[in-house]
Amino acid sequence: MKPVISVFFITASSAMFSAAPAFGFTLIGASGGLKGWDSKTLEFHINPENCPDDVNDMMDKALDVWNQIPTLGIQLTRGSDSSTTIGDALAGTSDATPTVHCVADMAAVGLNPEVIPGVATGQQVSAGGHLNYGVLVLNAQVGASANIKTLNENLVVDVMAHEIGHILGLGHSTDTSALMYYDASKRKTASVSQDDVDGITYLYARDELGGNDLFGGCAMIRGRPSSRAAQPDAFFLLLPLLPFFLPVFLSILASLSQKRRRMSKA
Amino acid sequence: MQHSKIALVMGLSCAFFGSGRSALGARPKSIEFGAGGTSYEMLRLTSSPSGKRNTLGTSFYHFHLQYHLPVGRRLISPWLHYMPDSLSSVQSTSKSSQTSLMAAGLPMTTNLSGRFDFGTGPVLLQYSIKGTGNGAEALNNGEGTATFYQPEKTVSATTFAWQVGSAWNWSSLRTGADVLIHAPLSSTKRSFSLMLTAAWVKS
Repeated sequence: MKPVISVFFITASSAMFSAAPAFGFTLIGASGGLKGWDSKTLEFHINPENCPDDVNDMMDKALDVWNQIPTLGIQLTRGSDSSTTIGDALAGTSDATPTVHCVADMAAVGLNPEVIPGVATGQQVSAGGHLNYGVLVLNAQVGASANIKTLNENLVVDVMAHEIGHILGLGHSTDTSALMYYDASKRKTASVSQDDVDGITYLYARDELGGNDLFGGCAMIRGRPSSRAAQPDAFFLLLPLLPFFLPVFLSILASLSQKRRRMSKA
Repeated sequence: MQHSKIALVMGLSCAFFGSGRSALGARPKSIEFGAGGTSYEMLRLTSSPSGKRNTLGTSFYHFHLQYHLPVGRRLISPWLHYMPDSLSSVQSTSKSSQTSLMAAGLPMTTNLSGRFDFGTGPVLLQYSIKGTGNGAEALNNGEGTATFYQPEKTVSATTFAWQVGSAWNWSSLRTGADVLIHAPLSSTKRSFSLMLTAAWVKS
């Protein structure tokens, strides 16, 4: 019996732990010594002009694609609406925090409206190597093939999350499954690959021994980085029920173990 | 507020402990050495161009070292998982970076029945990314190419997780299966890894 169980364990382990996929994240900036934004939180401000009605919801989802990473040491949130114009933003004369703009005339900002749903631009790097500026441009040109108002919501969230990655300092990846791969045409859902986790951790490594909140931080209420109504966290709602269900489960395990011992003695 | 949450989680875990020790369970003052693997961030990561999430996460392999210290009728069982960089299983295609995962845990172990142990406790994880700095590379950006830069330094993220798991004791072999709960107090960041180990036990 023991050898059979050992073989099963080894086989199961091998099946589970197959070779890791290969990947290759890169960084934007003047060199590989880029440091990312010098802050524990970063607010994105949307200028709502020309934007779809659900742009705030999509932005929240896109920010959460990165926020969900346990090794990320920066909190991304959506701040109050911005009144900065795209002209001022691209000229570098607006506030230092990233702004998001829905542009009705993509050609005016030098972009092809038929293929570009969104782009990150204007990133600046301080003398200390930290990013300190960035503009996220979304295509809202009427009649254009890549107008975000005509695209599937999942694709728009994917594009926004990808461009947020550029604002944060990530370049493109050679991994075709990565969020930071240049081509989103096959994507059906916004999710991160191991390569994206490594890239963003490289720039914003979480340190729970040196300043970041322990165990991921306090979030018993499932809030969103937005004005969306907070919802109770199901994990903590179910926790008080454990005293009722765990003893039953443990008793079942114990009786199964005793039954097995009786059978092997017989 | 933060410390009271941690105390609450730990207290609730301890309240569910079984009978303590048994002659067939983990032996006090025993040391074990072996190997294992961690399926990191299950149901969270994708390895598909469609973005569909995998059931299993990224595989990290490690050497395993553990000691069982008797505390009353239970055991405190500190463990360490380590893999040298040269043997690390996760590397980028461009050889521009290498990732490794080291972990140390401090679970309380109790015997549930016969050879079956249960353990739970905090885990400290160090997730390291080592850039090899191969310089700039030109990559497709949809309308041509753009220049991007490969990472060139080593960075480590240090986080705490919570371990819940079980082990089966053979005569001189012990096999374990544990779930690591990353960022257990954060509804946004919370995720799970599965850890399997097999070790030779010396009393």
